[in-house]
Amino acid sequence: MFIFLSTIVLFSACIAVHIVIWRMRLPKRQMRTLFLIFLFGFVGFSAVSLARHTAPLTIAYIAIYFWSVGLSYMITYSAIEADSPTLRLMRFIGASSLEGRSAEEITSFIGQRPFVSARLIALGKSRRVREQEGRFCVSGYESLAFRLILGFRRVYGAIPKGG
Amino acid sequence: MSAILCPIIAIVVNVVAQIIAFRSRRGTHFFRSVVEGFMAGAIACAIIEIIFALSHGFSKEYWALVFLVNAPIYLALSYCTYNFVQLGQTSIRIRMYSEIAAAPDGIDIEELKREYDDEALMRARLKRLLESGDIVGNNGQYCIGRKRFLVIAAVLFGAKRFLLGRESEFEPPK
Repeated sequence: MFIFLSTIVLFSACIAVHIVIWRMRLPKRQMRTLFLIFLFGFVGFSAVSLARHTAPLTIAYIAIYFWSVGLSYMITYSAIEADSPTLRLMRFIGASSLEGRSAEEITSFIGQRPFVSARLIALGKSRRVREQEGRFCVSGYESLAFRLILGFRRVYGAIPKGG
Repeated sequence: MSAILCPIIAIVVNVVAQIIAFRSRRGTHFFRSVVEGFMAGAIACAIIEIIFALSHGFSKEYWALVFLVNAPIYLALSYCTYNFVQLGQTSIRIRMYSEIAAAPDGIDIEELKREYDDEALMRARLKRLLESGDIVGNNGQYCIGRKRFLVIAAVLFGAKRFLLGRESEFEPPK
């Protein structure tokens, strides 16, 4: 019960800090800020637990519980931060009358939301890629997070090209 | 054996089963493989819990550990691994980055824009939604079929309004 309650309290505290910061001022690098909130929260909690002589195995259990729930929230948050084309399209069609939406309406709707360009701009802003003589190149070292995601996906098989 | 290993072993079983199932079907029926992997992991988790209980007894603490700790950890880790694989499959940003990183001299901007154009992206999503029955097409008109994505969208757009103060990244903040 201690593991469960400690994790719930720690996770709730991190979410509360996240909401307060976001309501005050939206961070420029949202995902990184969110990760830092969870990291500092957990480090602080671990330091207090060690000082109070909590068993290391119990702290390890809380770590696994806290990070699995925290990562789940961060993954869900990525869908809050950026628009999902699928959900946006569903909502657009869902907001129509019983007759639905025509192909022309959908095309016009897409024209107002340049998802691909927005992702390219986001890549540039995060300094992952740079533009050079009409070409996009990787800037600096390849991102570890991206390499991990793609490496894990490749274990399942080849990744199809295109959008 | 410590109970902490139960969700960890279960998630390993889940991922290995998913990969075997997906590869044995030559890269088709991704979601079915995910469900099969999840079930295999859940069965592994249940077996380990029973072994653990036989050696430690079925106490109140044991049931609390199973239902309040190990089960949520397994569910959360399954959700994470599923989304981790999905990112490599559907995230536009990650897939574009992978193509740029794979080209030693970089990739031509026009070529990339041709491959990842907004209309093609939406056509692909529309096709997937029509195939799954989430959208129904009739004489060039598109209506909602299954409402499951509308529920998810309502939750996510509500969270967007609450946290970001807007519903879309293409709207200025209010």
